Amino acid sequence: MIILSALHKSFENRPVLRGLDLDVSKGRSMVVVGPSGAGKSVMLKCAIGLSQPDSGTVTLDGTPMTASSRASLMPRTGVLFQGAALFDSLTIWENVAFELLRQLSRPQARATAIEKLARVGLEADTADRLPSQLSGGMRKRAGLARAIASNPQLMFFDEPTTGLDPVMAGKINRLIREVVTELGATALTITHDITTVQTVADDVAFLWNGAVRWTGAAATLQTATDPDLRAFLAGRSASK
Amino acid sequence: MTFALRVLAALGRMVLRALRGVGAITIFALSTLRHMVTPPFYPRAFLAALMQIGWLSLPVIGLTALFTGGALVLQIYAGGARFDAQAVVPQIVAIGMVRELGPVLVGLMVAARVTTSIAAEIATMKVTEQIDALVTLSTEPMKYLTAPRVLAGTLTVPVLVAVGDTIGIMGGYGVATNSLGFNAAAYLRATVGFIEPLDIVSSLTKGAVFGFIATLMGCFYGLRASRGAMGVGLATKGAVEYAAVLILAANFALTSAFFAQ
Repeated sequence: MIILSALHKSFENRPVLRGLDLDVSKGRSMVVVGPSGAGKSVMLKCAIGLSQPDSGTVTLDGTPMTASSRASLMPRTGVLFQGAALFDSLTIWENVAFELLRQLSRPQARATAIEKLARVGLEADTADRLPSQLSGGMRKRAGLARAIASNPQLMFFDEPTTGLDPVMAGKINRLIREVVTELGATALTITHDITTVQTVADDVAFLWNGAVRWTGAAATLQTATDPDLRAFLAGRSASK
Repeated sequence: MTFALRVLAALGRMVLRALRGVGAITIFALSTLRHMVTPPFYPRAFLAALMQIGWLSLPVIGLTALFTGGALVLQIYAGGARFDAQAVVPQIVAIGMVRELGPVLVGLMVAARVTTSIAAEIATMKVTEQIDALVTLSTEPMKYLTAPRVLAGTLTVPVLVAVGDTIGIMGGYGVATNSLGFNAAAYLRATVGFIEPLDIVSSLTKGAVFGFIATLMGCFYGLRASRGAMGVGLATKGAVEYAAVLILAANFALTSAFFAQ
């Protein structure tokens, strides 16, 4: 379960989050959409403990996110970053097994990493390559393999299809849907890509001006009446 | 009056900014020391840093020391000839290399080669969210990125200094015996007989301190890089500038501590 309550965050006196509330029920996949500058990335950084809100609380699976609880919450989470954020100096398998190497021997961790790579459609021969030797889509898959390596119960996806062609974007969206369902994880995705909403979301939230403007089941999105959400879905600029 | 106040205010802001910088670097250094002695440790990252800072710096350190030693002999010989003191060339080259030129040149070369590389690498990691990824993978960036590099720098730069001192002296020896007519055995005897244990201790201590400064500044500026390619450039520039200045300031302080009468 992911609960964000009354989050406020400003940068140099410019408010970005203005009392944001969001609940993601256990085992559900919530996709947050909204125009650029609405506060999606800042919200996600607060949710995963990379940024401290000025006020408000983040609760993950019943545990409030604080500086001291973050260390215990991180092993339960998996994050796919926008650019995959693979470590340049490590091979793909070492990236995927980064967390596993603390508990397993190198051969065991490598075997698990290759398993996870296979799960996201990457062949075993990619395991010993460096991130710079892979295409954008392959890097994103490797990032997804790293995110699911320790079977997390909480998953976060930051603009998972940015920079990908429509075919690859579709594949990544389907993979995300599959792995989240397999793990029974609670997932929070931010995106401006409507195809991600269609494939990944159980529930959708529309972020507008630092707060949640509309939320509902993904199936009800097209019938929503909020004018700004309608404008966003239609690809028009909305009133500010 | 208003103008004078404005100047004073600007000066005050500058001093405050400088003090904030000193404070931030001090806190960063103390935090690095804490992470160096508390688990978890990352031996692979440490070995990679040893390789990068120590082994791969050897060629450039060796060449720099060799040419500097050769040039030093020529300068001291020419200067000494003015008052008929050519005989002290081996002693002055030895003391100059071991006490001053060896450590300072190695420190500055490490700053040029290693500080920039560390700052650029970590800053790039920052702008591509790799540092954020480390955090989400339950890894403290200071422990994984900073502690191994700073420890490796502190341990390897004294070795580089020892190598640089030796090669510098041998560069001088080569020039002195081949071009200036010095007797090879007498030159070596004069060199070895003149250097005292304190000279070597000061040289290696300077190496350790310069290694600490060079790697620390690379990590400090890398981790503080702002977003974008410009952030990487600024981090690299700031790291090498401040590392060089701090190395020279530390050199003065250490020379005073060891040798001031």
